[in-house]
Parts: sequence; C-alpha cells; structure tokens
Amino acid sequence: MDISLIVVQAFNALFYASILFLISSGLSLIYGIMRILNLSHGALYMVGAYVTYTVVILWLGLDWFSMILGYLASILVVGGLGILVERILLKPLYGKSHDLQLLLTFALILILDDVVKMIWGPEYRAFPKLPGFSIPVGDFQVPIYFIFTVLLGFSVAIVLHLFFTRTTVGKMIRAMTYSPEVASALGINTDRLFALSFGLGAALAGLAGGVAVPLYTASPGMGTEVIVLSFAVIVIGGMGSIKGALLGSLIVGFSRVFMVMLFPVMEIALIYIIMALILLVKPTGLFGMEMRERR
Amino acid sequence: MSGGGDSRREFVKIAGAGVAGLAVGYGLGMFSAPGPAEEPVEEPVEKPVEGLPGIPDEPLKIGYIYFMTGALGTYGTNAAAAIELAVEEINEMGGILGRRIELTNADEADRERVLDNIARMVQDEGAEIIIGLDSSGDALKAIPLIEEELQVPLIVTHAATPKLTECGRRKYIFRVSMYEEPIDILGAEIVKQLYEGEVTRVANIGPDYAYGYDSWTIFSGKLQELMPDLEFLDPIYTPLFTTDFGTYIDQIKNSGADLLFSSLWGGDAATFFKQAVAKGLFDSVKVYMNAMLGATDTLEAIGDENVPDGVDVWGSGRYWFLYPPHDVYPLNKEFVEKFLDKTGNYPPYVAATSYVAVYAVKAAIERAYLSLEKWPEVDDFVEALEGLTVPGPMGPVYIRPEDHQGLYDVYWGRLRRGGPEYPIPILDDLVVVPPAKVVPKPFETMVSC
Repeated sequence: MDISLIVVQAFNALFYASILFLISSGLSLIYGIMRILNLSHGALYMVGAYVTYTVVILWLGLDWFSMILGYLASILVVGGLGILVERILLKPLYGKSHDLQLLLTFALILILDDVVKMIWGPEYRAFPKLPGFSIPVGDFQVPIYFIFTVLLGFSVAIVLHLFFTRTTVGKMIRAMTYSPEVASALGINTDRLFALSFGLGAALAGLAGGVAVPLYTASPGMGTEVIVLSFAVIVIGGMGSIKGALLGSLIVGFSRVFMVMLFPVMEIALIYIIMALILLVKPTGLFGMEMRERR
Repeated sequence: MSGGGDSRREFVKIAGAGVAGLAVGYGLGMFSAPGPAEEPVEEPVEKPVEGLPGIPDEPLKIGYIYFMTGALGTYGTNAAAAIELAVEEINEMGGILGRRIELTNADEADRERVLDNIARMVQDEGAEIIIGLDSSGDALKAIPLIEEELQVPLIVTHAATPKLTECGRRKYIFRVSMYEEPIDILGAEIVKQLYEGEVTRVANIGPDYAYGYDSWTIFSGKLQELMPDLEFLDPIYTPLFTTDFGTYIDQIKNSGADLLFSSLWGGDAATFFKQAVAKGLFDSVKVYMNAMLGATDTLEAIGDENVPDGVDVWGSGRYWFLYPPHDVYPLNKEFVEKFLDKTGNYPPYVAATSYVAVYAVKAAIERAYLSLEKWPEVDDFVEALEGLTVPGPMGPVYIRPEDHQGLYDVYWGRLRRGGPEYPIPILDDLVVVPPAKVVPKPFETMVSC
C-alpha cells in the first residue's frame, strides 16, 4: 500500500476525530457536571453552523479573519442560548425526574429545528468552497482547512484541560462534579456554576458547528445524525470526562478510517461493536471510573 | 477532454432532438400498449365551470405526505409549495368541474407513523386522494395499506425504486415521477457514446441503503453490457448525512478510477462534491456522473464557484427547470416563474412532479366525467388515470396503463457555472431522450423484485 495513502488516511482520521471531539466534549461536560443528558446538543451544533455561515458567507465574505469572527459569534450566540435555556427551562426541573430533562431537551431539538427553518429557510446552506488551499502529499491532497481543524481540536482539548486544572472556576466546577452538596457547603455558588457549565457545553457545540459548516451542507435537522455518534464517543471514553471524549473521538476516527480502507462493510458496525465491548468490560467507559469512585 | 469531440457533439445534438419529439409524441414500438401519440393530450379546462350535474358540493380533499421537517424537510416544503400553486391555479379556474380542492397534509419525517398518518388523512380527514412519499421504503410499505385496506388512489411523486411500479400490478398506486432505472440506463449509454476508450476503471459512491445499491446494480449492469472491457471496482456506500467524505475520496483516488458514478443525493451530494474538489479527486477521475445532481437545491449547495475545470461532471434527475426549453414550451417557463415568485428558488424536481400530480388528478376526473357524466367513483378515477397524458413542467407525462408509471423525457446534462445568468451552477449540453429509448417494458427491471 502506498505510504502517502496511509499518511493521508491517518490525517483524515485525526481530522474526523477533531470534529467529533469538539461536538462530544461539550456533551460530556454537561453530563459530567450536571448529570443532564442533553439531547439538544446536536441542535445547538446546528445553530452554531448557521451562525458561522451567516457571519462568513452572508455578511463578511470568505477569508480566515471572518472565519475566526464566525467562530466567536457561534460561541457567543450558542453559549448565550445555552445559559438562557439553563436559567429559564432547565433550572425549574432540578431535583425532579430525569425523564423531564430528557423530554425538555428533546423538545428543544424540535423547537430549534423550526427556529432555524424560520430564520434561514428550509434550503441547504453551504459554503461555496473551503477556506484556504490544499497541500499535495504524494498523489493526494490535504486541504489546509483539515489541518487547521486538527490543530483547533487539540488546542481546545488543551485549553479545556488547563481551565479545569489551573483556574479557580474550573476547580470549583470539578469540585461540584464530585459533590454538589459539599461544594455548596464550602461556599461555592453552584447555581451560577450550573448556568456557566451549560453555557460552556453549548458554546463548544456552537464552535463545533462553526468549524464543521464549511465542509458540510447545513440544513434543519443536521444535528440529529451527529448526536448519535457523539453518544458512542462519550460512552467509549467515559461519560463526563474530557480526556475520555478525546480518546473516544480518536478511537472512533481511526477505527472508521481503518475499516473504510480494509473492510468497508463494517465501517459503522465496528464503532458500535467497540462501544458494546467497552460497556461489557468497563461499563463506565475508558475514563469514567475516576469520577464514579469519588462520588 | 480529448478525442471523439465531433462524435460527442453529434450525439448531444441528436439526443437534443428529443425536444422536437415533444411535438410529435414519443417514439413507439417498444410498448405493447397504445402510446401517447394515439392518446390526445388532455386540454386543461380554461374557464370556470359551474352548474354541471352530478358534482358534489363539498370540496375535494387531497392529502399530501412528504418530509416536512428535519434534514430532508426541503423536499416537503418545495413539494408543498408546488402543490399549493397547482391548487390555487385550479381553484381560481373554479376548481375541478366546479368542485374546489382542499388540502391536508402529514409529515413523513414522523417515521413511526407514516402509514398511520396516511390512514388518518383518509379516514379521519376525508382525503380522497393521497399525493407524495419521498422515501422508497415508505412507498413500498404503503402498498398493502393502499391496495387492500384504504383503496384510495396514491400518486407517488418522488420515491424512485423500480419495485414500486415494476414488481407487480397495482390498482390504486401510480407514480408520475420518473423512476431511477431509465436515468441510470441513459447514464450508461452516455458513457458508451462519449467516453468509450477514454475511461477504463469505474468506481461507485452511493448512499448505504436500497437506493444506492439498486442504482449501482442498474448502472454497472447496463455499462457492462455496453462496454464489457471496463473494470468495475468494489462499490463504496456511505451512511446518510456523512460529514467527512475525505477517507472515501482518498480511497477512490488510490484505486485509479477514471469514471466515478454516484447516487448520493441532497446535502450528501453537495458535501461530497465540495470535499472532492478540495482533495483534488478530479485530477484522476475524469468523468463524474451523479444521477441526482439535477436538483436545484443541491446545485445551490454546491455553489457556482465550486464547479471545477477540466472534469466532465454530469447530472440527472426527474426534471430540470430549463427543460423543455422555455421558448418552445411555455408551460415550463410559467411554472418556473411562478415557483420562483412564490418561493424565491428555482424549482427542484420534487416541485415539478408534485405539481403535475395535482393536474393528473384534474385531468383524470375530467376524462372520466366526459364518459360517465357524473363525478367518478374511485375505480372510475383510477381507470381514467391509466393511459392518461398530462401536460407538466417536464413535458407531457404519459401514465403507462400496465404499471401505472409516468413516462416522460429522460435527461443528463453537463455541469457548468450558471453565472451571470443564474446564481447556481446549471446543467448544459443536455442529452435528452424520449422514454421509449431507455424505459424498460412494463414489469421488466434489472433490480430483483
């Protein structure tokens, strides 16, 4: 097999893992801190895609500077939307049945799909092309945007890690994850941190949408497909763990590419087989144990 | 492009004569049943008709079902806009024989309840005719419900599997949209005519479900028959709504394929195309044929700037908004203008096929009334649909009596930039053939039933 093909395919796997990580890290974070399985995470990702599309294509024109502004807009809009959702809709449900939270976040999918349809219409929305050029690797080409996405994905992983280990707010959130009661008794304002955490998770979904949209074709409902795979990622990696989301994304990214190269019929199946095996051997996922033990 | 340029232009020209064919009716000979040339085209009733005897007072209720929400919701919104347009036009003329049309609808995206919703429209809301269905799976599932339980006419306008019409005689089910087999067959003919000697290895990328598999079976089957020396590579099938096609693109590139056939559709077709351009796939693939590219919404998503130089990209579909040409066929011109006015978009194929479905209802009722002198019962209505020819935006649609399949011209066109005339890429160098050239006989299909 051609060595340049292997290099390029490995890079495709990294690229795919980066997108998956951006989506699933927020989902995992919200679950880890708040024990909320946010079904609307894919819908928030969709809103992020539309916001970046609007800023870059409809308003500013396609270049790297407007891309960055587009991402920032997606982070702010979707993060802000997350905080509003938490304050107005989720807060009254704390302490009540988890079914209610599931129903609420499911309802949010339908609402956001319709809101997107009202604002942007039902048509496909897509970038006319990817920002940047492509670099030749042997007979193949790697678009700069793929490289950019990989760097961005790993940077976000590092920033999140530093945030949770080095900053006071990050440490307070971690404390709250292990025991909200003790954290509260220590004078941490858990109420405000819940809003912040949901906002942060939503902002990550928004960023993921913004990063994915130049490659993808946005349409109402685009978040529904992505959420299923994200659940697989965080089940593999361990619900609530950022490290787990990163490892889960890499496992899914590489196993998919591996299967497409060698045994394409099993492409999707393998991911769920891995997920099932991990559930059997280590039901908390690869990095899920740590948190559970300390609870 | 190299070699065969003259013969290529010649073929395009000859095939283009299909336009002229509209005026004289379709070629005959392949069909055992009387062709449309012997069947006069139903003239639409121009003036309001009032006071005809035997016409019910209450409006005629038609129910439609499409994906109205979710990632495929654009199908439903376009189809609904076209149906509303047709109903407005007919009601403005006083309705069908003086009877107004009312609409009800259901969302096919409500996956668990597609059949329930069809039954609800008929049984609870009094729909006498159902139009719609995007998904082939749904259309096949609906057969027993429609044929045995409800016994109301279902006019399918999108679902494209040959199995719906070609795997058994239906009584109440009709399809006015072209199905996938003739499109794929014409695609193979084009490869033979234009690229014989230029292409050697053929790859496939399609969606990972029945439609993708059937399309490849038909296209590769026909192509193998026409050009036995070609090498056919293992087909690639991708899950619906794939975000990242890079892995597949590099595999195809590595395979050395010079012809790529695709049945990807909608957003997937646009996503794949954009990533293929960015990854330089078309440096090695010289001809790219996508059976579903002729959808204006997909072309819009691809974007005018993204049409590459130096590769022949061909697209087809169930209707192309510039065919029949507006100067020789005003009905299409008017439809495109009205649809553009109503929605701001050039009509995709689902719009044209659902629009013609409403006019098929009107024409069949009028036809039955002429002989019965009363409003037709269900059985009279389906009988009147058989062998009917309805003028539609895509040209006259002849409903073949045996299999209830609507037949009209089949096309492929070469992708080019639309600017400055059109904001989207368009299909040019149209190769159009009358259905007799590419539609198999009733109940003959390469797909196993």
